[in-house]
Amino acid sequence: MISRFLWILTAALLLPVVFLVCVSLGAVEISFFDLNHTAKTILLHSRIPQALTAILAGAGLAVTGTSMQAVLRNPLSSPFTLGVSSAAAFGAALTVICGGAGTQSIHVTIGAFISSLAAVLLILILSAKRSMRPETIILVGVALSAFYSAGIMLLQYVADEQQLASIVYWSFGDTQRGTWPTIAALSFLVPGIGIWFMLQSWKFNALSLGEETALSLGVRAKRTRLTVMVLGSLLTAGLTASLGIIGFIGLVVPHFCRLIVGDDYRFVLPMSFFAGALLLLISDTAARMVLAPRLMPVAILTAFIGAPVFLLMLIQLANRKGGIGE
Amino acid sequence: MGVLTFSACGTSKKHTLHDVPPHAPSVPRKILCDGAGAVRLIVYLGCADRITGVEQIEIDHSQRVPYRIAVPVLRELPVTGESHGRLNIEAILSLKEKPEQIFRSKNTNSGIDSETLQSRTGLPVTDFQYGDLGKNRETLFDSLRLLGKELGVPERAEEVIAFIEKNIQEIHSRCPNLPEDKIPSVFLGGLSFRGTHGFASTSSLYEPFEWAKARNSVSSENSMPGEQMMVTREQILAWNPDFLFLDLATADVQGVNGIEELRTDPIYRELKAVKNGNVFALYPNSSYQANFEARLINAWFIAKTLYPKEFADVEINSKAREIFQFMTGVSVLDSASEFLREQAFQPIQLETRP
Repeated sequence: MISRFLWILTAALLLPVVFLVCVSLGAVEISFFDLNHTAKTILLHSRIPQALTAILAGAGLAVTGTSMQAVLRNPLSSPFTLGVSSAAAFGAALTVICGGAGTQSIHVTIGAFISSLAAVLLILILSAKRSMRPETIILVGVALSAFYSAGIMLLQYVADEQQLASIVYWSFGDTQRGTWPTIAALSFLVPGIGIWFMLQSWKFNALSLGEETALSLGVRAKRTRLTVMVLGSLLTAGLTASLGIIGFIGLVVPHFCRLIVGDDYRFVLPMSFFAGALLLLISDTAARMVLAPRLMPVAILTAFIGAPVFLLMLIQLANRKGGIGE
Repeated sequence: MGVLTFSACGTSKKHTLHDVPPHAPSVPRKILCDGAGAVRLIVYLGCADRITGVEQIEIDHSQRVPYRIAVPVLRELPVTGESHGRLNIEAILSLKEKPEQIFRSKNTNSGIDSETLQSRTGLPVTDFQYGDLGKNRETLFDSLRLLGKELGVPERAEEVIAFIEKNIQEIHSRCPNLPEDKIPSVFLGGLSFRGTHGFASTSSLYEPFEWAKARNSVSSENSMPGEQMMVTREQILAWNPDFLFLDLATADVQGVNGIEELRTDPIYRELKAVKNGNVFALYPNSSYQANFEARLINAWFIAKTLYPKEFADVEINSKAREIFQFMTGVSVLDSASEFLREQAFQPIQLETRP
């Protein structure tokens, strides 16, 4: 119990330290004790907004992933299980093609957001017909993702070179797109929804014992599942629409945290919150530095690092107790 | 079925079919070209009137591409494919004006392969590498010679090659040899590459900077050279180059383009070139591969900007007309979009508008 609490405390305390280290790293050398005008401009308009975006996006994706895995009782669930990412990408591509908008345009963000919300709504309606069973939700999500991917392929095929570039560049999740207004919106959404998820942790614990046990404990499984999916997808849709697709954080972090603090969601959720923030913040700084002076969108790095780490964890877990999510 | 014959340069090859009719003309009067930049080289060789069909991409975005401005009739030709080798065999076979030979620029290996294309259309196919004006200049010249020979215009190919070399030599020899610490540092922004980009899109291999004896900030400390790359805004500020050159293709970015970024981004506002008004507009350098003629003109403009005394006698607009006229047959600049006519080869006005 105490050691689990210590883990969370360490992660929480580490976050501001890592934040300071990350914003001090970059092409221009900056000393916090002697800030000139240029240094202030760089901090205020490049490094700090980018780092804050990484923290908020990482935390948001990780808690959403954890909660999705809890309510769907499936270790493969992630914030993108409901097809939010493909739907957002489809919306962005459609806006680019119909409206002639570019990657940085606000119209693309709005198009992506509307499209992902529509997808979530569609999934909820379809799943409601089968009384919101987790398998149904996941399968509907898979089907819808495939449908949207086909839509993206079609749009990419008819796109001219300019539009194609916009569509592809949009899909690379990039924290550089986090402007101050985006950060302001996220700093309400992410902690708000995150705390709400944490307040539900006992319900998640009950759900993990099985639907019937949860019912006997007074947890209304269907309703919990519905609220988590709506809120989680809303957050994911907002994050994806404004930053692009950042994969693996929402899938890997929950498993990683369970490995450290065990299966109790009262600990897993806050741990995911901080671990997600830390992981994306560090990845983002690495993405800025690895190919310097070239720019690399962080999503490429998270997928590159995420996949092998995930496999390593799988092997570790297989050795320990027979498999992930068991 | 096809027999490969390799041309002298080794990188290009001609596929010859056994069943080509014996009366097939040795010099084709009707041709098709596909792949990035193929039409451009044909225009340089003065053979654009032989083209009977084009890729869809030749019809899109024609306002800033010199060879498309020079030969507007390209836009009215039937479409025989998408781009980068994705040809539509049926469209080729149903062309009213039957082509006699196909020329393919093979920088990417996408699309249908030439053997299949040849056997399905029954037309001889010539592949060539596009090359560039830097390290692969000889590849470009070999391809021009190959195309010149096959199209029956070998003299024109030699003239084009000589013209390119002459311009590069003249720029280079006029630029002063300054001591290392006096060489002006420069940065190219807004370079288009498979679509248009904002200010952070640049190149470490931009040849005009080398000819003009300028120090390209990107190549000076870069272990990974690239024809095109995106760099961080902060890095540009760390380099803080003396002169910024902006490729006007960036104006086609929807949303915030490179000019807008330079006007509004606080980090770019810190650049000394921005503060000193040393930001200059270049004619778009690439569209479906490098605009070689535009790069030559840009090089003259860059050199004149960096070394005004040495290039005092060069009037950049007439130099541009001369180069466009020689390479594409039309002095392009007068028919380019109003935006390009007014903005190219000028300092960019960056005062934030009221």
